Amino acid sequence: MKEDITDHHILEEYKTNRENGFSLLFEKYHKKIYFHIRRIVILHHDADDVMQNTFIKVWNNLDGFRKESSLYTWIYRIATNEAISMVKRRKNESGLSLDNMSEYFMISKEGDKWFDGDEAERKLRNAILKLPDKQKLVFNLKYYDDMKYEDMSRVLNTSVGALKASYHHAVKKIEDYLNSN
Amino acid sequence: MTDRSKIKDNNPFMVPDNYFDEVKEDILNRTSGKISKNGKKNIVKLLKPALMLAAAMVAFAIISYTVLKLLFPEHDQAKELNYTEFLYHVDEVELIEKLTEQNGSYNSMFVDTDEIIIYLLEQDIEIESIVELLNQEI
Repeated sequence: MKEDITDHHILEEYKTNRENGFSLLFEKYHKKIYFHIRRIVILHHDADDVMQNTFIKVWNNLDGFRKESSLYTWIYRIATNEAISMVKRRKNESGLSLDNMSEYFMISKEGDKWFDGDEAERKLRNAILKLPDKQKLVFNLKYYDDMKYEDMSRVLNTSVGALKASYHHAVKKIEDYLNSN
Repeated sequence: MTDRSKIKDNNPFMVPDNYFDEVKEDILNRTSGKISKNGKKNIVKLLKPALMLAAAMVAFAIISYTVLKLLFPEHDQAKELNYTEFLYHVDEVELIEKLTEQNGSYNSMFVDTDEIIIYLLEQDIEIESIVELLNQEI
């Protein structure tokens, strides 16, 4: 299982053979990263662009990677920043506010085209889309990626206390939305 | 649209068929294309645009020089004539003496002035033959 390969092994392999090391890294992380990005940008073609940019940046900067942070949080940080930039770009292009963007994703056929959830999942998706940006990120990383607050703190550059508060508020808002719809 | 994520059972997003295989191939091709066999960035590829520009400029300069030479052949002849005329009126002994006066180190760096004069006399070398040699080099 490629997911079982440790980051240490990947970095050691990268030292001796860059391409093999990067290939192992890609195998381990690409699906997790794709769906993390997808939950932020929603649309597949945007997620595809962002994922490719993310891994090209990883490739270009892996030589300078410092082991102060883990490879896992470092890659998530790059992916998150790239995905947020994409969302901002889309907002600027469409001239829509954040709330309107959420509405757009919720009602657009493009948004539904690649969505295979049942009614409960659709409601959950719409509830998440209603959240403020930061709460949406925190909820996704906790709920879907099962990320520890300490790691999330490095990815989002936010204190653990603030992240716990964001998650708490996000869960409360989602519950309220599901109960009222 | 059947390749549903297996990462988390509750992930509702789908991706196109074979998407992950194709994107993997695409990204690995893009990254492997940026390095040479020894793992270093391929300098030739990086400098290719600059090298092509430099080559184009050199080619342009050569073509321009050739065209100008063909169109204005008298230009070189005039230059050669002026140069020959100039040297014709210069006395070689006087020239060497002047050089020696202007730069004392010149003499010590190379050969003694008298040695040059003796050499020219012994070899029976005239100023015209020196001019011819210089013109050939031009």
